[in-house]
Amino acid sequence: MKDKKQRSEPEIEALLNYTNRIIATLREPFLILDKNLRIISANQAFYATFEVKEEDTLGRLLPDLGDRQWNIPKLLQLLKEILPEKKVMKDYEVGHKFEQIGQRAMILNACQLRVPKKIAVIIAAGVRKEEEVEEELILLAIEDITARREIENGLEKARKELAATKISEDAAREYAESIIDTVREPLIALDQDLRVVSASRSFYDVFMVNPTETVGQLIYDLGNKQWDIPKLRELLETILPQRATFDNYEVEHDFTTIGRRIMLLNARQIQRVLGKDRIILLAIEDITKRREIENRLAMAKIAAEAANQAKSEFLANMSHELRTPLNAIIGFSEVLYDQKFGPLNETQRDYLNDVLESSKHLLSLINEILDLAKIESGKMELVPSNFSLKELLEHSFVFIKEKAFKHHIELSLGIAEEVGYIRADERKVRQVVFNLISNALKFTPDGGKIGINARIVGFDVEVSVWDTGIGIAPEDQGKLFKEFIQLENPLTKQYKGSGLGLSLARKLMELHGGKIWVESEGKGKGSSFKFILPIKGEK
Amino acid sequence: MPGKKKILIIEDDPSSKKLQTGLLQQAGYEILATDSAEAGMTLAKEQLPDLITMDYQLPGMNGELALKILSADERTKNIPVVFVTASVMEEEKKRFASYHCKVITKPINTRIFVREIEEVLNAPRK
Repeated sequence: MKDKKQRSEPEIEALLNYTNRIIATLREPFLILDKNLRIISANQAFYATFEVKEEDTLGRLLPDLGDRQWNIPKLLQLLKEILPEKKVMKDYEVGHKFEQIGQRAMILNACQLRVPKKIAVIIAAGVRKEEEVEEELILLAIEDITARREIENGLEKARKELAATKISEDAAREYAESIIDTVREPLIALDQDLRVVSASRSFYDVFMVNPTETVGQLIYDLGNKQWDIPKLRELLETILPQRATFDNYEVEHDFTTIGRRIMLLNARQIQRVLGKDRIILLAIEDITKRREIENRLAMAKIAAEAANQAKSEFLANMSHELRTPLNAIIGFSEVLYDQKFGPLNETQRDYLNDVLESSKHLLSLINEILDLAKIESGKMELVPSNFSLKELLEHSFVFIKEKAFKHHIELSLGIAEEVGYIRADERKVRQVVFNLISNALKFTPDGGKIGINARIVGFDVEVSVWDTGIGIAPEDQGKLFKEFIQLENPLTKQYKGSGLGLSLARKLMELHGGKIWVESEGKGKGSSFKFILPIKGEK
Repeated sequence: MPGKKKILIIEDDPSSKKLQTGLLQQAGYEILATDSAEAGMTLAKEQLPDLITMDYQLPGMNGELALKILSADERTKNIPVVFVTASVMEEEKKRFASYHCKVITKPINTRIFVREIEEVLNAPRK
């Protein structure tokens, strides 16, 4: 103070100028108010922070500033309080929502100051007239801490989230542990030193160990070193460090407590959520029983295949053995019947004809059984070729012509123009057609009618072998295509057939990708056997 | 008849052998018949028949081996062989097809048997 008094006016002015410079340089908004809270001076930082103009600021009362935005009751009250008391306002925090710049958090520092009139005049120069200048001034530093507060809030939020994460991590761990305890597959977690961190309940159950003798132990030492399995060592010590994971590694080991076990090992090295150490999760699937079942199945399969093979061989042999005597029976009766080696009388020829017919029937039975067996053992192979179905059908009546004539049965062919070549096993199609025609003949009374119709339906050809015979009751129609099922035939008891013909026909059609069925309106109303075949081979 | 053609029948089933012999003799052929494959091979080399019919499956020898023996000998290698067999299994049929030999399935059809044999006899030689 003493010094100041001695200073000359220009010196004072220079000093004030210097002070103003400092204030102007501050990044913190700064105001000088008089005791009426009229703004005498403000720095650039104030204008910039609160987005107000110099001309709208200087000389105004603080409450009126920026359309009364600064009318902050608490601030005004505080400022009024400190004036008479010569108090200092230190780090007073106030929050306010400015219309223009939004919510702000500010820390205010203020002090009251009395200066000589002369200096007050210089400070208020250009703002107040000399006679209006007050000697009591308030210096107000306003720190905008909005951003800092936001950061602090963010930090707090992050801290809270972290805490929440911690909670959810605990929940996740609990969840994981409950899964581990629930799965039936034994699981064991090891640390980097291959010591057991934890094990699932099923691990204790399956391997008959308890937690106290397990957790913290080296895996190899478990259950009296029963787990010292060379292959496991190799997996954990050699393979895992290189690959971080292995799958379905089969290990067989003879445990003293639980006997020989086959285990499937799966392992993962996983990073723990917090911390840098890794743990090894080892899943041990006991596949001993499964393997046993698999082995048994494999054995059963081999046995079944052998049985099937034996069956096929038996059938081939049987067929061979049955045909050889039939060769003589059919052959000799045929040459005798044909009188190649001398004449026979009518009765002899008649009897011989019965021998011949019966032996041929026997042969067809053998063939049917053999065919069915072949289909069942998957040995029936189709030999497809392109052939004219039309010709096949037209020629099929040749075999029954004589008999039909004898019984006054009319034969009729109705083959559509567009039925031509198809791709199928010709011999087998002929077999089916012949079977159907023979049946028709068997079940049609004298004076009846037998016919073959054929037409194209989409990509298939439909063949119908029909007759005016005894017909089939609706309830019997489904049985027809089953093996060994025969319906009563009142017309003839002579050749009952094997009961295999239609079931064989069905299987042959299915093998071709076609199907066969019967249509009959009932007993006495005739029947129509129909089959469809894909024109261009199997669908 | 000096021009009589000779047919060798190798068949171990006596009835089958008898039936074939009867049919072919009646058709005017000279018949040599044996039930042993080994004897059949010897007969083939000694008598040089115009055709051989044989059961594919004979004790001690199957058709495949017989074909090998016959084709190893310059004199017999061009004699046509007809297999008469009771086998009808698909895999055996496939095997027969690879020999390029006529196969007649038992029971034989006596009404066409002679014709079937003659078709082979009269076929142009390799």
